[in-house]
Amino acid sequence: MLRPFALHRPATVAEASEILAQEGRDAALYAGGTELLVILKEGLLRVKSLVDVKRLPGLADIRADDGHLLIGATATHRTVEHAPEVHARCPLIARVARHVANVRVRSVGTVGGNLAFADPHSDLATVFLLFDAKVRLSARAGERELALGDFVVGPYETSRRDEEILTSVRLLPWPAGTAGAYVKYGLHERPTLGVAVALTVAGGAVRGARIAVGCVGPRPQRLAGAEGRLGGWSLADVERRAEEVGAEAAAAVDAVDDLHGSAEYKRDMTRVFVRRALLVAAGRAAGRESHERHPHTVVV
Amino acid sequence: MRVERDLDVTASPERLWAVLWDVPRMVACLPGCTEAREVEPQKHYEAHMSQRVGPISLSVPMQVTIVDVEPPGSLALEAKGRDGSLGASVAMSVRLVVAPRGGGSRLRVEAEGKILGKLGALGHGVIQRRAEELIDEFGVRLKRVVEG
Repeated sequence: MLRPFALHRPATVAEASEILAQEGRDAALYAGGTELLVILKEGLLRVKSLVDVKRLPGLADIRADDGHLLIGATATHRTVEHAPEVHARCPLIARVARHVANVRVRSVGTVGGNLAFADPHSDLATVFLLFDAKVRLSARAGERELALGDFVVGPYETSRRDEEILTSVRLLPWPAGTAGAYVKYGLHERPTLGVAVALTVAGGAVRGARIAVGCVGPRPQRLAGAEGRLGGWSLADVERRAEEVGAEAAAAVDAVDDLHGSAEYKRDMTRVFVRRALLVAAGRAAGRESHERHPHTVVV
Repeated sequence: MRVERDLDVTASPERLWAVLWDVPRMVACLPGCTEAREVEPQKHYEAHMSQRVGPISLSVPMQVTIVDVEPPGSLALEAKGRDGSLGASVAMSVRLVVAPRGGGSRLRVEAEGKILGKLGALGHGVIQRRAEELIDEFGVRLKRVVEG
């Protein structure tokens, strides 16, 4: 049951921040409401007021920004899926947006809301880590920018201060010659595991590798050790030795037991899915699209 | 969930035991635990436990019962309570064992806890990690009290 609350509709980010500063944790930011309304109805969160930021001007913009792709916090997953700027600069993001949750969530759920709620079983933060994402936080006192890895501190926990509003996320498009893939697996509504990989290939060898694993631990992680192992490999090496990288990722990943499975299970699934994601990305780097399919798995 | 930790302190087992057996003082070392008080000496205690996971706050009046004590070596207690507004019940059983080690002592903490109700929808993983953080911080604070 939804309890009564006051609804603020500030006209500017500064005004919204003012309300948040005054009301502290009695107020909650409200955009798409896809996460917030669930915990409000469940009675897990009790607030006196909601601060609706959906209509704040400019907050849903998607545009190029100094070599980056900037996605406004109130842009919905559906908008991201169709935005020409996203297709042009970070096409993997557009494809992932198409597979977030379900169509109702995608229509109203926002990128900023997804990141700020910091549900560990989510897709966006994992994929964004591959693009060195930085989130911008605004308050009356000014703005600051944080690497996404510093913003998400744990399950449902971020370093956003009470009076701050997440206004946008900036992504650095990959260099030319990069192929990526996102593979997620899950039997439940939310994914059990998400693996994002990207390989930058030049002169037939891997010059840069990015691997992020999400959903298995308290927050999504880049796995530098596993990434480093791929340096200098040919695409044939990647295809032949992807299992080694999967094993290294499994050893390094911070996994926890939860309702999706034990930490041990998740580590083993990390091994399997890092290998699969690498094979998809290596195929794409070579101009081939893998048509291999696995149960309960979405390959993006 | 279950958390086990070993904590080494420079204080003697007798000194460590004296702090543990002062139950309100020991319970106050657990982060988020306040208003610890004695209801029945060396048997029943009360405390208030507040925890926060992201936007969700848990506030539970806890009943603490000493179920087994063997001075100056081990202490077992059970604590339970319910957050009425969240509809969440918390139950914990904790065993503390003191042993000499070098010139000081070692405290073994074995805690097992359950959270029932809608909060469980958040998933066990969140709660397990938080429980580990709590026990680690308990160790830090207890060490400060015992050695200070």
